[in-house]
Amino acid sequence: MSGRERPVRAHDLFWLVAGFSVWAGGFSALYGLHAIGCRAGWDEMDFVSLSVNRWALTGVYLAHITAGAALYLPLRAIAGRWQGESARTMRQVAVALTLAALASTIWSGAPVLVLEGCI
Amino acid sequence: MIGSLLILAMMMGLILWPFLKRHKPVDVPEALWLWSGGLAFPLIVLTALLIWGLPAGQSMLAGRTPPVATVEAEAFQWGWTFRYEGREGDTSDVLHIPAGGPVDVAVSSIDVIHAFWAPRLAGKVDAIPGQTNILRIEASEPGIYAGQCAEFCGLGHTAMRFTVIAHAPEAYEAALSAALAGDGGG
Amino acid sequence: MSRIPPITLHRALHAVWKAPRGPGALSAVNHSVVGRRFIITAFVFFAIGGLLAMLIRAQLARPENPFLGADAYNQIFTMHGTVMMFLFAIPLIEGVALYLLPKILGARDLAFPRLSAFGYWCYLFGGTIILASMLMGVAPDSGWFMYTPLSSSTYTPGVNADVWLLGVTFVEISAICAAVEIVVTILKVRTAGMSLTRMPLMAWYLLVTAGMMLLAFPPLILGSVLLELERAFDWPFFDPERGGASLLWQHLFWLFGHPEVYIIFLPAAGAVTTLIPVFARTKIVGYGWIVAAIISLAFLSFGLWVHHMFTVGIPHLALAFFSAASMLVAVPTAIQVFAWTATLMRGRPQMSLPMLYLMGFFSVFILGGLTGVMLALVPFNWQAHDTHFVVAHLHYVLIGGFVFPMLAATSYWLPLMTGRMPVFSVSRSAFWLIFLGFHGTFLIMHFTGLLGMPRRVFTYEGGLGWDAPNLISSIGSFVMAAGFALFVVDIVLQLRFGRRFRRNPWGGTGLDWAMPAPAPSYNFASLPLVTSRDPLEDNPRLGADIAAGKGYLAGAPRAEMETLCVDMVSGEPDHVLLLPKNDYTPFLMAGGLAVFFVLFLFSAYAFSLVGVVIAAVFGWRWLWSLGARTDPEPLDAGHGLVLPVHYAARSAPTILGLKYFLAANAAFFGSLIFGYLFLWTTAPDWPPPDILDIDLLRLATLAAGLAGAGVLARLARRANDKGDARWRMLALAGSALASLLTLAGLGALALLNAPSPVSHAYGAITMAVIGYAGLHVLLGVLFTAYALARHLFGYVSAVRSADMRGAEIWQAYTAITALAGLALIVLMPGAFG
Repeated sequence: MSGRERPVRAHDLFWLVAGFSVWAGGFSALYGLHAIGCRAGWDEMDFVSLSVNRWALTGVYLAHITAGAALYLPLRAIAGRWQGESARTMRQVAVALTLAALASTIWSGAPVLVLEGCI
Repeated sequence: MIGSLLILAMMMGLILWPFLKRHKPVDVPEALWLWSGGLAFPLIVLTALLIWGLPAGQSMLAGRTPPVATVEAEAFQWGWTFRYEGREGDTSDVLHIPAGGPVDVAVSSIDVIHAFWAPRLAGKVDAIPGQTNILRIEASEPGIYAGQCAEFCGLGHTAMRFTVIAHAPEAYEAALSAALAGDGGG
Repeated sequence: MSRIPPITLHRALHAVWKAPRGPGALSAVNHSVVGRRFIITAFVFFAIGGLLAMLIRAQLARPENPFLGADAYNQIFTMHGTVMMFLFAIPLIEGVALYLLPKILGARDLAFPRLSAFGYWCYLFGGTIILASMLMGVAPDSGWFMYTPLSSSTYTPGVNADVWLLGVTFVEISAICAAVEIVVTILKVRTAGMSLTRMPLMAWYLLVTAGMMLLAFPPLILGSVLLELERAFDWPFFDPERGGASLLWQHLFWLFGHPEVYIIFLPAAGAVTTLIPVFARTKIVGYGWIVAAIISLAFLSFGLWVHHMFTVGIPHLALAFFSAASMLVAVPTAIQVFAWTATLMRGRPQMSLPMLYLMGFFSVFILGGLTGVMLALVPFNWQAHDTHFVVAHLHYVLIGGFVFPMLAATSYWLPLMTGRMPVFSVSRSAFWLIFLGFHGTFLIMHFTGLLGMPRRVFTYEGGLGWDAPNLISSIGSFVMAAGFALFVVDIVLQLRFGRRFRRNPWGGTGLDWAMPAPAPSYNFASLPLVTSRDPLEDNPRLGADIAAGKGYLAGAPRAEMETLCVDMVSGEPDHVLLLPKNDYTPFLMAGGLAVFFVLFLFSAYAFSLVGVVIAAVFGWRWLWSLGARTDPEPLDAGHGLVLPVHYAARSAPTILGLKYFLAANAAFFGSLIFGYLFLWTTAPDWPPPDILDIDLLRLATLAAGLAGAGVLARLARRANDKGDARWRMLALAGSALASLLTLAGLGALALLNAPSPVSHAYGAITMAVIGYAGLHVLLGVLFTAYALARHLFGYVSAVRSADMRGAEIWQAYTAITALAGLALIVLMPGAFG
């Protein structure tokens, strides 16, 4: 892709776990925020026709989807420069994991959009 | 259940097929195989299950419609004390409810963790010291229903059974009064 | 390189590598010996756990059976679960990994042979403590997941629960050691040319598994420590009457417990992935897909823990996250299954013995997976939870997903250990007995559960429809036991009468079959250059070439135990790892810990510290034996390759090992922080009126001390890099002094300012955070003092910098976590008080 090709280095292994780290962060944040919101009574408070809890959770959900999607651009640029024997497989695996993590973030947080409340 | 058996049969067929005598190595296309079998197939099945399962779970919860009665179930090692909203006294190991409508059971414990489970009336919920969990149960017909502690709670766990008696709605108040007037039994 | 007769090479190598005999066996550290010990001990515990299962099935065979009482039954089912999970499954995985890894990676030993020997002794001693309690009739009896408050001292006043908490924690030390060992070995200790993407998939599976172990075991260890603190010193973390929450235990336990299922499954799946292409005479389909699938699986499995807690009254929306994630794990599992079926389709599979066990695996595991999807549905779970349906499901998953593949792996790799082939007719009968007995026991148990029979009841009334299915299950279990007995008979027959073979009886393509069988003590007479994923296919004569010394590091010309360390990704040789000789230190250090655990069990808390001191002394001696007092010359590895020795190499395994240990430690710390926040948000009566009272000046002094110790250790390392011995010493001494002063400050904080740890869970968890910081600062004092001593005795130079870098990393970790902990306990009362 670009002229500055280089071998895959140890720190590139970061890309194997980056996507799912965002997933894990989003998952923990949703679970924790929901518990705190229920404790603080946010589901009883309304703000523009939805509960504060719903707003907060939806916000966190979308933020993590954005973060997961945003990983993809630098990954493309960096993985595009990888060369050498491991480059092809490593690139495939890193891209697949980043996209799979994004899909998982969307999937496992989706109940935020459908279900309501603290019961 | 039947769906599961079909999936099992299909998978075992796929796995055992290559062992047949007349099997010739097939150059299966890797991408097609893994995209369809590994990704698309489970995702379709799971989405269907989740779309069915989440609302079904929601509808089993208390809160949507007001209950026809509210009772308290307090677990201890090893038995149950039942109290009734607006009534003095309690009953031991026998719970009286009106049939034909949802009843909210506020489940708690005074010692270790137990679980309230009357299999024919609802799912189960844990009785946890320091917190109260609400379970919605419903008996469509009057009758006697068996219940038991479903979370291991020590030596007396096996014998920690209880009975739920569902009365016809018009007879409920009288039956409850009679039970509460008794010596705490049912 | 001149050609040397293989037998000469063998004699030279064996003289250096051979395992000690007699009492010297206690000093053995070689991976084949330690791995074999792990495997054999695990199978002994499997037999014990199996006997306990027979007692359970005998008791449940008919209603109102007077055979066992409730007390004995509770101990037996608790021990069955505990033995099978902690003393069989996990150690067996560790043993298989430790035995196989160097052989499939083309190495002569693991990165830290003494660490795995230490892990073995911890496992053996911890397991013995647990087993001894059963013989004395005081075995754990609160169920293998030990829910509080049933396991608290109020409801289990005897020593039973302490045995579980201390024994299992002792065994878990070995799991953490093995995990560090496995990760570092896979990343660094491979043969030349074996890049990450040329590694056998088994190594990927074990790498991911070990990574999961590093993050999953710490929550359990933390839970055990907190519960033991509550039982021994009355710190009420889990007591709702004093601001604790019994659910905290469940969260910590399942935060470990669910990933644990995948920790057990992944290595077994790795064996499946290894065996299928061999017996289908083809290559695995979808290498990259499988790597991506197992990494996804590892992460997703941490998002499932609450699905064991669907009935504890967590809001439905929160359950929905976990329900969705539980279903999602089916996807990477399906990818692996379809990669396996595609491989079978491409090849000409044969129904040889290991393949037969794999067919058992497929049929059992797929059914277990399907019932798992059912249980992930919240409404179904509310009905089936804690019934025999769940018991049936988990045995399908664990026996299907673990035991069958492990039996396949055993029949596949046992010839490598014994040099003989299995005796066929006996092996097949054993398989069919196990397979039919298994289904006879557990298939019908699904229905017993759906008929409403709860788990963990020691007896039941007749006439509920449970009699016949229970009797069938009991008969099935005895058939299965007969099958396992026959499996053992088969192994004995194989050792005695099995046909001998020369090399590679199954036609494998990995390096594990490029050695003669039984595998020699040094594995490879020389280390081959690998250029693909199937080195034996590229060069069928590879085994002979290796034995003839045609690879790197041929023989033992320096009478040292040498193996290659490579660049993590590319597999380019990086340096030579000189391995330790046999050593009693691991045994003695584990012995010190055993003294601690046993005395603690007998409530001799002050005396138990003697054990810690013994362990610390041997730990110091262990560290001291590393490195050298002069800068080493580079070594000739053959074929024109000249490489530095590991203690003069920047990317040596030691520092990497420390980093992975700290990753596990960070997971422990994160769990502690989770515990603090969990109690704060969910426990009743939080916060109490009596809260932590600290003035800003004191806080600023503590923070300055922590940060100063970290910065000074860094300055010392940088001075050492420049060869400045004076500043190296001064900065190190400054770091040690700063740590010492901080320790005193933390002590004063704990004694003077912190609320009582006994009156309320707030005080207890606050004290736990201070204690964590204090312990790390204390170890920081020891680490810097150690580095100073090494400096004084001439072990440190700009080239030999491991001691300096170790101290730097420890002090930095301590500063970060202790500052974070202090910030939490100071800010939370201020912000939410």
